[in-house]
Amino acid sequence: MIWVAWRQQRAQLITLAVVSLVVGTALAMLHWLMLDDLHSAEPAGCWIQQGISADCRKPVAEFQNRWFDLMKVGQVGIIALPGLIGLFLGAPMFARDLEQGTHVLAFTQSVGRARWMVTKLLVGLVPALSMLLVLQWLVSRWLVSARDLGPLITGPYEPLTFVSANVTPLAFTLFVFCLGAFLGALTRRTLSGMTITLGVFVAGWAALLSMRTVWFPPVRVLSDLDYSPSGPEVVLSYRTGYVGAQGQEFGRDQVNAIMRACDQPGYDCWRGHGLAHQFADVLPAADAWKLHLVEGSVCVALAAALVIGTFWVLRGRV
Amino acid sequence: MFWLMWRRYRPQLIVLASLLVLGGLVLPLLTSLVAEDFRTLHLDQCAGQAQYIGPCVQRVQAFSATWNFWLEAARIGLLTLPVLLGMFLGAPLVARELEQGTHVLGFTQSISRTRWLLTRLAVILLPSLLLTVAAQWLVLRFLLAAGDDRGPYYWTRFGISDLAPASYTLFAILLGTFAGALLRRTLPAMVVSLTATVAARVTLDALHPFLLPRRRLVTELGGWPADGSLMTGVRGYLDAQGQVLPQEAVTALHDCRQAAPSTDQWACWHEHGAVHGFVDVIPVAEAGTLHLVEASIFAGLAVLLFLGTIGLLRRKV
Repeated sequence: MIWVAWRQQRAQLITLAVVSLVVGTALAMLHWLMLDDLHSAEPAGCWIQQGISADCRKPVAEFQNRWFDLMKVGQVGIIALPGLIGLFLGAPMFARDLEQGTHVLAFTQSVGRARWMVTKLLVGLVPALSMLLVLQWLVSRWLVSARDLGPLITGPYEPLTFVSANVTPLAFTLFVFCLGAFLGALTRRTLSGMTITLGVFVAGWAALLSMRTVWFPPVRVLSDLDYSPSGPEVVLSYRTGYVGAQGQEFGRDQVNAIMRACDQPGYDCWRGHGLAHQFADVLPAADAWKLHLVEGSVCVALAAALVIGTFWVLRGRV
Repeated sequence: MFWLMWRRYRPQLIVLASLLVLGGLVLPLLTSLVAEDFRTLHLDQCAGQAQYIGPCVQRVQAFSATWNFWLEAARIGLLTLPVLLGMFLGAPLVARELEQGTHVLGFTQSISRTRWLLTRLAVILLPSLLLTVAAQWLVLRFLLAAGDDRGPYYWTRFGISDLAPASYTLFAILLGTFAGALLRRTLPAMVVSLTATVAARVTLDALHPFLLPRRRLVTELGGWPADGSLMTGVRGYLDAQGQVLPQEAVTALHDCRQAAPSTDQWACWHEHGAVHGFVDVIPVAEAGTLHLVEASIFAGLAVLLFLGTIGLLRRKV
């Protein structure tokens, strides 16, 4: 059975291996080139969090000109990978058999449908997930070595960073793959299965990002009027606003009215209107792993439900 | 013929129309929301000011915390739209017929193969171009309302302005069609279409500095042109006579960095003969011309791919 599954998906799996090899080598080379650039040129010792001195501004700008966007492209690659795997491996998995009628042969063999399905899924899934893990590891190693000169400076909750880090890509790949398989089995058409998978994949990323504030209660951070409460956005911000001396919140309309009334520089006028502090309801950066774990579990649970759904659809097929 | 095409491509056309309606509803809504936020936060006063210093900090931060994701998503969405159109509409256009054998019916009718292909392309290409241009208009309005201004050559800006999206779509769909006619299988054609479109775009992006004549900008030592011109990678130093400093002299400048403390660096550089810096750039004003050149290249490639597809179909029995 494994041999049959391998033969059926050989083209995809070989493509996967070749792509992994090429992209992996490219990533390793980029990492090495960047380290070389970092150590041979000036930016070494110009870490942003120590404050950029005048001497550092130009080398840092030049370094970031060369590497920052490239590192972001690496992150986008990790984000796109679940979609590509779901589209090209997941969706055609059962849809092609059903579309071309070859499932009849499979269904009339001595192997049960459940085993047929599980073997096919695993033969596609295990290499795909391994590829993702390797590439994600290479990208994260590269990004970490750029420290705060790279995209990681904006903290673990920055959208691109969040969805390309920790267990989220792995769990999401599992979900999109099973979704593709399910939709393929349901629509019995490769192209329709792929199109719907793409749509849900995009919606899925948006859901992962927008539901981040649902799972854990935030911590309230207070700060002076003239100082931003969260600093550079390394925390996950739920809500920001202004409070009075007793901690009572000001509504947005009230604050807007005060801002309009006070057009001179400084904050004395604001204090006169009763504003005492800025607040930010945030999730600290140290809690990012919890969020990854929760959202990852949701993806895995959905994937399990989709596998059951796929089996149910396939069992009903004559 | 057109009725047949409508029946054949109904799902695809309905998806395109739904995307258009969805974008037409969501993007104007986002545009009005972002414009209101921009106004209430008085961000117009912050234009040109350093974003991380001064009283604009909080307002800029509050604004980007809410909107950066949506702005980035709109940019990426518009950048990837042509690739997706080529993959999902271009690649299956001929490949599916060849794969399922339905081309035999078409080829044995009274119309020529060229017309057979042309009608199919028109039914797919015109709505796709319409969608691309509409999406471009909506997204640019959204970005403009958010005060987005990173210069015309910034890679996420260049690819979504002027003729770029339409020419990418034209090229991507014809590339997909060609790959389909060549490989005669939908799935491989989609993979090839995706990879080749991305590769072509990246290659042409890298070629941008070579497509137009460069202009030499003379800067202060250690200066840096920040007007958003396209850097060509050619840079160096000029001596008092305006001659380019030879490579050995530039290497000697590195000693200045190690030997002297940073305060009298430039004096040391002057002693070594470096008086000005220079960079070769393509100026901001040339962006329209660069778009024109790039779009012509993509259109030319599209014509070649169309001829290639016709050639392949003629030979097919």
